[in-house]
Amino acid sequence: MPTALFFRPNKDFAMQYASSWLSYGIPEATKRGYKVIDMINEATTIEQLKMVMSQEKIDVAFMAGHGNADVFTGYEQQIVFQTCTGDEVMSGIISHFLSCSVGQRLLPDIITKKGIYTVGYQVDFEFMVNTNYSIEKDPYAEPFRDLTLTIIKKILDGAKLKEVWDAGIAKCNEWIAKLWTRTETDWAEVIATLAHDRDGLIALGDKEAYITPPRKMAAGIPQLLLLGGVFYLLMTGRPAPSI
Amino acid sequence: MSQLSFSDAKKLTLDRLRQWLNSLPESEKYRPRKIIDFKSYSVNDMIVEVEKESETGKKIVFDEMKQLGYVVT
Repeated sequence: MPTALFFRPNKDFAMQYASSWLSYGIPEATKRGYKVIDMINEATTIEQLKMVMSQEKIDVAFMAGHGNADVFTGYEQQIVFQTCTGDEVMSGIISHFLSCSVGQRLLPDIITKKGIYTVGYQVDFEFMVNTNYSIEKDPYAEPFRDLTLTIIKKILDGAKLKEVWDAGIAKCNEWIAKLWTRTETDWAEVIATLAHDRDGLIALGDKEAYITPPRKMAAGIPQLLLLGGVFYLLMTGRPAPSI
Repeated sequence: MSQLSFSDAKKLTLDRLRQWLNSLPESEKYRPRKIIDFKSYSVNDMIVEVEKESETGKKIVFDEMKQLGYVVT
C-alpha cells in the first residue's frame, strides 16, 4: 500500500490556510486506499521527518511551509532542508510543495538528488483572504484551496508530471474565467493573484513517472448489497427479496 | 507592452491601492487581505510597504504593473 505524507505547520496566520488546504487531501488519499501520515505543526521538523522516513517508505509527499529559493521550513520556521543540505530525504518521492519560490533552486536540487518528480512555485505563492469568514468558508481563498487540492488529487490519481501541471494551470484558468465578470476590486485582485501563481507553477523531474494508486479492497454498502443479491440469486434461482 | 519608470509605477500602484482602500468599509481597511510570501497584509499595510519601497513593496508594484500590462524600467 503506497504511503502519502502530509507535512503542514500551522502556527502563523497564513500557514493555517495552507495547513487547512492540505488537510482536504487527507480524505482524498484514504478514499483512494493510501496509507496516510499526517505531520502537523510541532511535528514538522527535519528530525521528525527523518524519523518517519526511517520507519516508513514514503511514496508521495505534500509539503506546506515557508520557503525561498534555497530553503524550506517547518515548525516555527525552522529549516527542514535547503539546497544541497538535507534535501536528499526527498529521494524516491513524488512531491508537491506549497511554498514560496522553492522552484528556483531547491526543487531542481531535489530532482538531482533523485526525487522522482515535484510540482511547486518558482515565485512567492500569493493568495487572498477575507477574515470575515472562517478559513474553510473564505470565498477569496477558495480558488487557491481548489488549486492546491486539484494538484493533490491529480498526483494521488497516478497522473504523470505534465498532467499534474496541466491540471493546476487549467484550474487557475477556470477560476479566472469564472470570476472575470466580477467588477469589485477584491475579486480583481483574486484574479491577478491567481494569474501570478499560475505563471509561477513549475513541474520538474521524470516525465513518465507516476504513483500507482492502490486498489480499494473494501466495497461500499451498495456494492455489498448487490453482491449479496447476486449470491442469493445464484443459490436459490430467485431474486433476493427487497429490504 | 508599454514601459513605465519605477517612480511612475509606484505612483500608479499607490493610486490604485488607495482607491481599493477607500472602497472598503472602515473595519476592513486594517484586516489581512492579501498573503504575500506567506505573510499577511491589509490594504493599508500594502500601501505602507509600497511607500517605503521594501522588498514586498517593490513586489507589489511589479505585480500591479504586470497586471496592467506595463514593463517597469
